Amino acid sequence: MASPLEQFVNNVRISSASGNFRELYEMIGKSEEVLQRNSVHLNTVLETLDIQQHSLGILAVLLAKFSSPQGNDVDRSTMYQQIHDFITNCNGEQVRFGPDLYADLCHLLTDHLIEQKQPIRGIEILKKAIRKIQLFDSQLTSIHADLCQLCLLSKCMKPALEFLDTDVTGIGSELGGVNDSKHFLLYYYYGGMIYTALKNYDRALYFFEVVVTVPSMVVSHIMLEAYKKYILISLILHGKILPTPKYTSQVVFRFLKPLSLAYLELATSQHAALKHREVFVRDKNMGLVNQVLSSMYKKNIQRLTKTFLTLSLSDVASRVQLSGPAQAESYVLNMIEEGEIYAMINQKDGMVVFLDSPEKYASPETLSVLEQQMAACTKLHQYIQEMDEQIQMNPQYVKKSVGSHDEDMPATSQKSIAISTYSM
Amino acid sequence: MKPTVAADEMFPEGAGPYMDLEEAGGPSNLLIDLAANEKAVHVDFFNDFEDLFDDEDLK
Repeated sequence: MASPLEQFVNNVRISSASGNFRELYEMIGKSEEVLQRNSVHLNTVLETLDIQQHSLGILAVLLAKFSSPQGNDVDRSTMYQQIHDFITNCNGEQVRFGPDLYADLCHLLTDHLIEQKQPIRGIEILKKAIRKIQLFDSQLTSIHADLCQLCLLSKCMKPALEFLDTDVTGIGSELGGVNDSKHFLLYYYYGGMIYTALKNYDRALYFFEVVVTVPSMVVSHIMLEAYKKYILISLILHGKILPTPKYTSQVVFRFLKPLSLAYLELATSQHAALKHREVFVRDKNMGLVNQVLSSMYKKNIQRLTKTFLTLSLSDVASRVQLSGPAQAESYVLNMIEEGEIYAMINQKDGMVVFLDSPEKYASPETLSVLEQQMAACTKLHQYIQEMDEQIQMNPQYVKKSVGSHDEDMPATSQKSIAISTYSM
Repeated sequence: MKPTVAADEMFPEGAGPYMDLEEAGGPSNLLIDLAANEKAVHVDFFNDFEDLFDDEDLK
């Protein structure tokens, strides 16, 4: 009689040949123990299967091989190459029957590369892995978070942008439903960090807001760290902490706020930066805190341009609480370079002359930006309408809305009775 | 007959693992309380990056 491992190989062959991938996926779920127990024979199994024809079977074997605690060093040394070859050559339609297994394999590769301190090697292959499993470009998978993590660790941010810049309109089955929200939260947290590193603060703030406003009954430490960064980015961008949207869960107010007191204090006092330095350094947020301070000085200088036409550098320094004219000059120069203010510095008498913005908003560039923004708004409106229609036609929604309407009915009739009684 | 506490009827199984801030022993002890509270999740998520936002090293 054939051993359980031989039976597994036979099942993979038969199911793949007949195209019963759903059945095969269920069988794989039951074969986990068999594969783990026969870890020494898995290389032989791999040799007997074809990567294109038996992609789902090979995926299960690779997962068992590399997640096995007994996996020896020889296996680990071939891990990158084997997973790389699998992702490059596997049949996308087949592995879509086991998106959770496919994502787990990518998580294993990510962990392995982090352990090896070679995060940059994983970027291209994870990009390929995402494209292969996605049903459409704006679908989020749990592999997205891995890609962002590797980009941050290797300080090579740009490869993640093609994914981050695409607004998500759908979620992979391994990420949604009853599954843990960890990879969803991580994608937006790491994505926010990437945008912060690239100084795209608007987008970073949006990403952190998504993390903080995920409906939640419990405290997630990812949410906590995202909330701290949300405060800092909000201060850099707007000079104040923007209130979170009204659909924010109570958890944020009950736990996250009291745990971020040092950060909240920063909005009211610049001395908090020094007072809570230890906290900020421990959280690895000191760089951002310094940027908050710098932006506060800049916002104060911008405010001066609304009141004064000319001002001496020492007056600028004293009004915005900088150490002296030299530091004020450096700030003003920097702001002129960045286009944040329009001004001239007269070196001879140490005076700053504030000018009006030369922008008249009449150039073809302005028109082009306007057109782009209008097109984006129209597209968004279309998306919302489509999603609204989908929800209206969702049987669960229809059932629930009809049900709640029925519940309302007695109350309404009671009310009408009360009114009629009163009128009598 | 003595009136019973109405709040108990709402939580027959007890208050559960949730806690009020006042009970938590102040913000400084909140993290410790949270760690002891199984309702805190993702404690071990990967966040071991160096400070990526330090502009000082650019100057």
